[in-house]
Amino acid sequence: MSKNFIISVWIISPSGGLIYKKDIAGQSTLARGNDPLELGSLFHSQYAISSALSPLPGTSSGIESVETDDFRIQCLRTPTGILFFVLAEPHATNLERTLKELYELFADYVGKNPFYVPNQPIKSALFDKKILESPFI
Amino acid sequence: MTQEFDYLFKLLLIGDSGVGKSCILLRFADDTYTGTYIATIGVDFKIRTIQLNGKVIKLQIWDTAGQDRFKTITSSYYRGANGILVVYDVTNRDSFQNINMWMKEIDNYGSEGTVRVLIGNKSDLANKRAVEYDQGKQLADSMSIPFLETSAKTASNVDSAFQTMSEEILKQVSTQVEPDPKGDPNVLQPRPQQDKQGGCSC
Repeated sequence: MSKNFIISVWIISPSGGLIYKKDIAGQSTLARGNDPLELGSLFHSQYAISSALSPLPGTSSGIESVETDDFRIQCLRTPTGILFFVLAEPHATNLERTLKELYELFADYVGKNPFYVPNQPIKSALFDKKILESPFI
Repeated sequence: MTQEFDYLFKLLLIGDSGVGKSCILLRFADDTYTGTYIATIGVDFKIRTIQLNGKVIKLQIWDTAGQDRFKTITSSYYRGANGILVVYDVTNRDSFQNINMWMKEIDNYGSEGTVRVLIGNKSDLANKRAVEYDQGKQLADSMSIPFLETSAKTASNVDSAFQTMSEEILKQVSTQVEPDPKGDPNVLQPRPQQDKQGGCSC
């Protein structure tokens, strides 16, 4: 059990591909293989549709949170179109802070890495470590 | 998921309705074929893993609806595509004439440097052919892009189409130096000399 009741952390590139997923609390319940990639990209599409559904076109940022009996999802989309979201226990609080922290870690340890190719999978041991160490994640 | 693959490429299939975009995808990703026509609703995608120059690459191929009424949805998927396969049907002259229109769509909605490949599908239907190989080749040459005739039905050239595309993209995406494959992320290895061919990577 994570200290902040976070289950997993996901990052979707502006082009709709899953570039990062980290299970925080225990094993992932998802089967292996391409399942995370498919679900990540499907969520990207859902997010895009939710923005388009706004009665004032172009004004809605899209899905902010999804609540279910068993878990919740909280999203943050950057102005450049990167979509961060966390899966958490239903009673988790202050997920906005968690997402802000995630965005900052991304900016520091991925965005500032000169060898990172945008829109490609993030493979940084340091980024992994910082996420696990963060008091907000 | 962090160690399973090196790159994730976004590919897109566009072209007129009924030219066989979904069939090409089905052939490439699942190695199956169905002759019945089912219109794609909006957008669908499939993923196939390939190996190229020792790199494990996941090709995520987005298949768009060719019908006009889905255009507002499908155009938003051009963003960030590493490669776009523009498909026409060799037995359908109109679909060939619309290629220029599809190319304009890419100019409007695509990103800079998107790799394009022109595909003439249904090459197995020799007696119904309405567009000759040379015509397709000439059009592709005029735009300086690769051209292949494929058949999703017989699987002819389908793998090569995606192979051609992936090689082009890998050239663009790979950087001059990369972290030590043996594990230490702080050690950089210069890439082998032969990889530096093909001009500037900046």
